Amino acid sequence: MHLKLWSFRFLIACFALWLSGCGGASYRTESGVASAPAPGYQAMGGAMDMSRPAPAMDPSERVAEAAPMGGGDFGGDGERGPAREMKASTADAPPSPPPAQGAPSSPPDGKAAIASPLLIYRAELTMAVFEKRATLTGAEKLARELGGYLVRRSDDHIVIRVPAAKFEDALKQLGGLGDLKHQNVEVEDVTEQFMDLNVRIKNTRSVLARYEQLLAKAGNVEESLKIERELERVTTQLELLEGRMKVLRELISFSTITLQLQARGTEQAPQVQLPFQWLRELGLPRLLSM
Amino acid sequence: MLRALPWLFLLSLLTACGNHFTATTPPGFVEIEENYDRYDYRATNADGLVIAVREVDREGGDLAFWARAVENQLRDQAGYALLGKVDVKTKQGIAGKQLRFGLDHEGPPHLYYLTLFVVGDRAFIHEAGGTKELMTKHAADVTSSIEGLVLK
Repeated sequence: MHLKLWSFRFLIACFALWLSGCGGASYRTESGVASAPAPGYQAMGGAMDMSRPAPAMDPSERVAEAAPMGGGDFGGDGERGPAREMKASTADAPPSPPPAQGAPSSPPDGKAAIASPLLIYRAELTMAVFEKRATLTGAEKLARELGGYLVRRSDDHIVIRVPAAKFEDALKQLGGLGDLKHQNVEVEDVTEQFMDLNVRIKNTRSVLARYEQLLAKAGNVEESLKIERELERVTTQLELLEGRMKVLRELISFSTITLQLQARGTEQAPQVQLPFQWLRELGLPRLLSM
Repeated sequence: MLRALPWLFLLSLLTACGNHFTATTPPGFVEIEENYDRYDYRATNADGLVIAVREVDREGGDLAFWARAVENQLRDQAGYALLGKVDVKTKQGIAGKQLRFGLDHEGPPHLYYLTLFVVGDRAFIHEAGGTKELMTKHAADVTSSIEGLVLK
């Protein structure tokens, strides 16, 4: 009986410890976008709540759930597609700023609770337009108005980037610039990539800190030189990782839209020709030829 | 009376072969009498804005069918940009559908307005085209040409 009482007390103590461990673990992410969380990140007062378990499903399934769309099926009804995902996480978030130095650090184990997937949106539109130059200028202006920017522009195509939260809005408005012929929207789930990179950066920083400590304690020149070489190597590695993280954050925060313009039909795929000769005789060249 | 029958028969054939519409040439335009190509009526102004009308057998298709067929043909096969669709009506009260296309050639941009009507077994296609500048300047002429069509 005495033994049973002790066992019961031990269980209670364990449970209390587990509860305190669960509730008290609140971490800031290393994303540096606490004020403007990247899409898919559930910011909770600037901190990531580790008590919420990450969705236990395959990333591809999460993408499918978050953005149920096919290439050409992406409509602009405001209820489907990426906008829904954006509304859930960063509906009114301004364009995410580049990661600030000294940003909040990640949790000790380098993992962050991702409430919803981190997604990169890309769209390719093909349009038959009237006055290509005016359309290109219109697209560039639209990107700036939405808080985005021009990536590149040529005579018949333009690449712009817009804040992820404005992705659907941008597609809608671009569609109004001409005669939309094809639209392809791609969503890439980079949650795992993001988390993996986060862990690697954290670990590399730890290694760097250890080398710096060793350097301070180095007994002779030869030892110092060896440690400095390693420091240089690890620093370069860290810079590369941080560079990749910066690019990834940028891709998550800003969606890429490529607009291809064409003045005349250039499709190579076989097309249905209705058996009415007069339809094929329509067009300006014939009308205007005297 | 019997002697007149062949003449009446010939006359009826001629009537059947004629156009089922009457087009009014807008002021400032000249009807092109020759080289109609496949047009039943064509007129131009001095600057080169051309309007034309042709009639075809509607093959059972209604206005929506032909509007869609024309849209597909010009968008997908010929690369025209669809700028808009407008409901129109002749002075007779016959409703039609106007498809407005744009074409961005190497030179100046052009507009091409194609208006469809379906009456009885016939479909009527009114075309107007020219540079954007001309089409804008003579928009009223194009409209009056469409509204003035008398379809039988």
